[in-house]
Amino acid sequence: MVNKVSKRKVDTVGKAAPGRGKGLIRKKKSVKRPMEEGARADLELVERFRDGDLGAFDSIFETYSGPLLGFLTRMCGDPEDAKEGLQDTFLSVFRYLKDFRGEATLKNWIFKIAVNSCLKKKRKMEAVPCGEIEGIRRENAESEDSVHPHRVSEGSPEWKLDPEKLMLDGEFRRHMVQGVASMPYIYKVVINLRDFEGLSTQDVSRILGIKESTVKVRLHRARLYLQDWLRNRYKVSD
Amino acid sequence: MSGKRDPCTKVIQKTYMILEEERSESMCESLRIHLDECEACAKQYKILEDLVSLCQGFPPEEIPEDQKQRMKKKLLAAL
Repeated sequence: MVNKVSKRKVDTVGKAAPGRGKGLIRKKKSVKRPMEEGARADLELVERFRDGDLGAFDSIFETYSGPLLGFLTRMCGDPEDAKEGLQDTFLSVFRYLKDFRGEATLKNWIFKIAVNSCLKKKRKMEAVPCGEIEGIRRENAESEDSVHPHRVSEGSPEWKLDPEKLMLDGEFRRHMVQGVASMPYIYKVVINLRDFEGLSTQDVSRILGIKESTVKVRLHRARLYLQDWLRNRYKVSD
Repeated sequence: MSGKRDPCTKVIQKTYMILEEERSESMCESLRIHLDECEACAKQYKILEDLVSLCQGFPPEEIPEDQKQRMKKKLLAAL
């Protein structure tokens, strides 16, 4: 499909994503296969855990602690709260793992628990209503048609370094985390699961109990929000 | 789309769908035509794609070994 888009444009946009497939449009196939293989391995792990194998506990912790902590840090913006959330999430995971039926992959099941833990915390602390993204121009429209097409001309970020180099920049990573954490819950949970954790639109829709079309709208808004956020920190002239 | 230029707003919508891999051949073709003609949309396309690549390449959080061990100990004690 990518070949259908102008070669010239694709060449400019098809940079390799660090650590994953080459270029966004080509990405999905390379992500999907390892997830399916991983899901099979996860099911074996669950069986071992049920049989009382502590090695399985260890493997589950080692596999998911890093991604879960990343997810929780981007959700709450505070590393200490995130660690607390990680402990709570794992506690629920290991308590209820005996009930895991394999209807979802273990990854999705675990992330659903993490989402519920965030939701619980958010409800407890809720002082600010989870409304529309502020500072983004077309906040109240459900249709993406209202997106300003030429936001770039107003000074959008232009990545002077390639994405792999940016990922090595600790300050840039912190800005990304802050940017996501600053979004209203309904947006950050979607971009976190979909873009950062690589879950499919369908999986995100199932985990959150919302329509796929809603996932897509929220994802697009979250991306534009993050773009605005980074633009304000990496402003360059056109 | 044969020669008829899309309004930019529609193109952005298509760009989004292409990023979501819901593209059709005709959609890609009309986007190609528009991106060839509209520098601003082409720039926006690149920025969105780069941004998504950055999110996708974001490394998982690293937990120091001693913290991991403490956490595991606590979990095992609570189970």
